[in-house]
Amino acid sequence: MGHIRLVPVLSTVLLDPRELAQRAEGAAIRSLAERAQAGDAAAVREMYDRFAPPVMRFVRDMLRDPHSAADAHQDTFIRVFQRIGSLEDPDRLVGWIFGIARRVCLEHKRKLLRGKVLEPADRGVEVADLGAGPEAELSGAESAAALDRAIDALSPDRQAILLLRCDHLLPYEEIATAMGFSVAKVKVEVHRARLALRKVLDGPPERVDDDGGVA
Amino acid sequence: MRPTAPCRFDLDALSQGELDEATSVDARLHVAVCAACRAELEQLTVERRLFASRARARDAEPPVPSFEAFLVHRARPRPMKERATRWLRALSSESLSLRSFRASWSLRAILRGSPMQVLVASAAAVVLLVGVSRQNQSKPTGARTPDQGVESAAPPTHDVERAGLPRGSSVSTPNGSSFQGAGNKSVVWAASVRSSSTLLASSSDACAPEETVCLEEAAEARCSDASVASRPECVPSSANMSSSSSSEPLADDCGASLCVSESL
Repeated sequence: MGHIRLVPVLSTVLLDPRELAQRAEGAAIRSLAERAQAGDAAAVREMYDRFAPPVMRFVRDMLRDPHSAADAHQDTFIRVFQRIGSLEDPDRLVGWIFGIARRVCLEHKRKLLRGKVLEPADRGVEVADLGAGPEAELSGAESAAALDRAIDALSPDRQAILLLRCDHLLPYEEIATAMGFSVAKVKVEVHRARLALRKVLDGPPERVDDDGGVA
Repeated sequence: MRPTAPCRFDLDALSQGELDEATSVDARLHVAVCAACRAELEQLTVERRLFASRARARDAEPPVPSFEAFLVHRARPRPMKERATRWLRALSSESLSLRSFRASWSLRAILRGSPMQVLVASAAAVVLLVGVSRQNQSKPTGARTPDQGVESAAPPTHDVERAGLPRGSSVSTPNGSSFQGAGNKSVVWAASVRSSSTLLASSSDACAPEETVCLEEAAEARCSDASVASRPECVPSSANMSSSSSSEPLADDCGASLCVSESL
């Protein structure tokens, strides 16, 4: 009987420290979600403090408009706090929040498009050739601006997937929750988004369509 | 662009450090001998650094509002359109016990809902429209029946035009409302009813201060009763009649007459 009890203890000891940290993080997020669902005001505040910065970065990346981003950020957390009771899997809190942020961004993007006609210059991507080594040629703000323009050339879904994966470093399962896709589809879409991004960064300033091809 | 080689290892997960220890070791052993996978992994690493440098460049952006600022911002009054939406949402909220009603009869549900709901909603709209149109038909269009009172007998503007009055004149009712007509004449609506002495009194009061002429509504003159024309409803109180052609009070088929007073 004793060795059976030792198995989880040994497995915990032998785990990779990074995996241990991930497990602890997952347990903390689960606890946070459950407390917020139970109506704990401190948990609500903690949730805001914890997720407001990444969500703001995400909505800014998606919208590229500071006022719309501020509104979208606010709307996201209003919905999060209103609908926290409907969260079925507390382990997927991060993906759930980013999923709400993504939908809010799409709504605000539609509003922005109704209000303004994008000029071709806005959508063009003028990036130096990154094939020989992007970091050698671009640095700091320049490379960030080039990457921003390249991301802007992608479709909204690809933008969201790529940002969640490469910028926010979310695992596939969380992205699947945020996007409403299966994990397999997320892997495929991440791969296609990467290919599309490379095509924009390597190629001439053109718009990339949903299939990864340049229009 | 470099093609991505088919590989049984998830190089993206490897670059993010998401693989478990055993799989990670196997993947690195494979990458060491596979040029395509090595190139792909290098590309992924470059992209990761690019995103990291971009994240560092974001440090100059304005900070995220605090939780207190969020609460204050949330309590701020919203634009009219949004407030209207919220009002509708509040109306259909659980606190008013209209949730089931909202689920089945909200506009959105009707628009996308079952044919029966659309049918019932359309029928209700038709009944409403028919009722309104009938109500409009029952309203007087200038000539009144004897049992109608003065208060409800306001002359429509086209009656003034049919009376042949020049532009600039005005029509006023005994109860005080007036209508713009033509020229330099003002028309006092006597709205007399044959058998109503109170109406006679009110019409004579209306006509009393001014010199008054009574005109027949030519278009409405279907009443051939001569006794009607001799009724003293709009006989001017002052003796100096300005127009002989309009000196006798005339009435329309239902007893209403127009009293025209010329401004001096």
